[in-house]
Amino acid sequence: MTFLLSRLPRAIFTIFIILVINFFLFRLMPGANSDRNLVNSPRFSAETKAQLRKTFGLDKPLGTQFLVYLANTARGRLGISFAQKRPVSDIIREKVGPTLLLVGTAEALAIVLGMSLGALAAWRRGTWWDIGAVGFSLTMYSVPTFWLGILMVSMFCVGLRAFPTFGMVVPGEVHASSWLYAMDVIHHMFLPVVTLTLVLLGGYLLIMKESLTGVLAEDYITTARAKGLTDSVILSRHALPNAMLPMVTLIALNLGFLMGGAIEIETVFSWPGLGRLMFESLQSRDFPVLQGIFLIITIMVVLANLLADWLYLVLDPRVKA
Amino acid sequence: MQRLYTAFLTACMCLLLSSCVAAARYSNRNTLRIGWNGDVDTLNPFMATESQSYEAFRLIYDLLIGFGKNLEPVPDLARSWESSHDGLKWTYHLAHNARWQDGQPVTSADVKFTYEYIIRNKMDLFILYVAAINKIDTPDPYTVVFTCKTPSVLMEQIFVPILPKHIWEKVDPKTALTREDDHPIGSGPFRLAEWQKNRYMKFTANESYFRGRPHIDDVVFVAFANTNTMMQALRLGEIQAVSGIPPPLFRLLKQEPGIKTIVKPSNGFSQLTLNVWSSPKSKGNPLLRDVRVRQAMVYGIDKRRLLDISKLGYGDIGSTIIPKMFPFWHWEPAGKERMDYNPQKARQILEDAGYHVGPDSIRVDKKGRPLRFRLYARSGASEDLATSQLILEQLKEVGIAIDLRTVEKATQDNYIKDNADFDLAIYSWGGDSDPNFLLSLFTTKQIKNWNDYYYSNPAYDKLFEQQQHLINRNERRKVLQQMQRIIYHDAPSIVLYYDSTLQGFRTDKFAGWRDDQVEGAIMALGGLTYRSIYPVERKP
Repeated sequence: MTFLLSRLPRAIFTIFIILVINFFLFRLMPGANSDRNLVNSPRFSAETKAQLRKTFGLDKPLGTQFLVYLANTARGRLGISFAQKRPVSDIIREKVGPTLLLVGTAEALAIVLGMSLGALAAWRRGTWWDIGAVGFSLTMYSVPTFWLGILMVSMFCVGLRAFPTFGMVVPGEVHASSWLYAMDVIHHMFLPVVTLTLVLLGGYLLIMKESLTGVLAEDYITTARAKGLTDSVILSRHALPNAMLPMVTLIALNLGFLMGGAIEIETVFSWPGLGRLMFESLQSRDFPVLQGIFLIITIMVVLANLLADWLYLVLDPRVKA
Repeated sequence: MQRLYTAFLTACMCLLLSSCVAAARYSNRNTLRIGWNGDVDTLNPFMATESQSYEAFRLIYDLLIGFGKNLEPVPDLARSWESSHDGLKWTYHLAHNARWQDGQPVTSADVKFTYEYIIRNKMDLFILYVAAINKIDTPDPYTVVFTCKTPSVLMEQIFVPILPKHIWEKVDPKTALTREDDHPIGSGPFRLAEWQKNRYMKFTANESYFRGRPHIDDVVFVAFANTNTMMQALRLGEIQAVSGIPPPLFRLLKQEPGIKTIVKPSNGFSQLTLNVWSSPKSKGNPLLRDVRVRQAMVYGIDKRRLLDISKLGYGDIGSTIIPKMFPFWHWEPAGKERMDYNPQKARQILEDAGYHVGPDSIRVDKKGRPLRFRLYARSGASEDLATSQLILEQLKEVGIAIDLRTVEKATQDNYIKDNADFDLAIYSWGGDSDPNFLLSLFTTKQIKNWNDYYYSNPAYDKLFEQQQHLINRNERRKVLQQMQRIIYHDAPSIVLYYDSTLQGFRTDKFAGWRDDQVEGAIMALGGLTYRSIYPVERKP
């Protein structure tokens, strides 16, 4: 409780600052204040454009617009999209589920696999296990995501015809049961999840390996060995818990960016997620949507940081709030 | 901890295994799936501008008079029509059995309401079509009479979806533009069943369509984020048709069994925009205001090579601002007027105009200002980028230096439209069913709006006004030729090539594609494919 009280004001302050930057940053982009963002066709007259500017409150001075934006955000209103002319909250809500499903699953897989392989690589340092795991994950880490995705599509979709190439379900299909629907989703998400997992894996593996290698060189591990403890007890009771600290930070920080989606994966597989929405909104200068997404990401990152700090406190008694 | 870990791994393995056996189980409805890049912007007919939206409108709504395969007027809601000798009075006879998708009958009151709603509220998208209409009468439920102020040839070429009065009369005109129209009711062959925005849009056959139920059950438009994936989906049969295929992918597709590929002319052109504005507000290189420099550039660019490399030869070499797709209106320069690729001549023109070769073999004028121009191309437009690179090399040969700058579309627009801070830019224009729009791009009125060239020529402006009121096609054609000649000579725009529309569609599951339409099997104003297409095993 004292922890929360001490950190909360700073977290709220951070969110407020980002809120302010959010508003002005996008308006500094080239072409930011053009009517083209509302309607981009030669057929629309100056009067119609003026009317639209008024509807969207863009006729008011920037300062007033800013105050309106702050007031609306405080009341939980994210505004109306320029491009789609419907509430930003609706647009974002449609994309949150698919993004969490894709990025969340891939993160979970990458964390578990990365930690296991990293621990294995540290434990059997110098063996082919180590070289193989590190080599593989480094390769996947450095490969361009987009390219890897296209490679997966041509291998598994075109070559083996095992998976569909796009989307989250067969478009327009009416599923007889929710079980079939779930199967359809899994069938569609398999390749994007595998691709994203491979890309994320390396980071976790390397941190885990480094951290555990350091711990294994500590005196208390030697002591444990001298006591005659088995390898598995040394690893699970003495080494791993201490090696977890940097992992916790990394996981917590990455969780914050979950909502940012995975633009490249979502684009290659036409996955209906937040990353793609963000990219498209950036191209069409759709500020209300961008502000909404950035606000959500900000809150997630701040919360994830709070969580990391708190976990540190729990895991490592030496850290005092 | 360990147990949790084992459980997690087991769960993952189970999911992986089950997904491998989860073969997609399709229902036995005949579903036609069509892929496109991007998506419908809105289904509000007064706001929609994307071609995708218009494709959807062709399914949902009927027009008074439709478009045939050569864009000629054909019966739609109006079974027949006639006009008075002076072209002022038009009488339409509606089909008696047409119904709205909610069961109400379609009557002349709906037609009257739709047109009056547009006129009274000055709905920009359609106002041009209906500007000539003065009075609308409905002597009986199936007859509509339009009385025009001036004779109009456009009365048979109106793309106005007929809307249901009983729904739209409740819509406040003030909110009509920003209205979300997610459950549209029309009288067309399909009705909207499901719309997952930016994912897909599903239509089901209108069982009581007045011209007979379509032969397929569903049409699904799938929004792709990536052309490569879309083409793979077509090759795998996950979708049945694609329009606007990039040339390299199109060439690969031609060898694919079960897929028919077609090449159709498009109603626009790819071009180099030159900033010719003489105002002090222009931040462009003033040397481009010299028509001799612009003409030297025309001679210095090998359009054939651009087309062969960037478009793999698909399309036609460009000349004037009305594409060859309009054979009646297009004017092809010939003889002395023609400015074909001739680098020797380009050098000669520049030499004669006093631009001599300076340092770095770039030509400079008498004051020593170099012929060095910034060219803004759009990132992501790979064909434009290839063309820009070729232009850079070709113009270097005649002593003109190009600084190629790649920016995203909104930034390019900002440089061109908001600040006039550019010398050259490359992109393409899409036209209409009439050349009027393309011609309007060069009028003084459109400066700071759609005249990206900042070109101003009173003689041209006068001809533009004049042609709008010419009913006689032959007279109008003469004026249009004159206008094309002016722009070709003044070269505020260098028309590089007339793009082709490349389409591919699968013939193994569905037959009855109307690829005889002038625009192609899909994305055609007539939308004829959707009413004729049928599953191969169930020939109607």
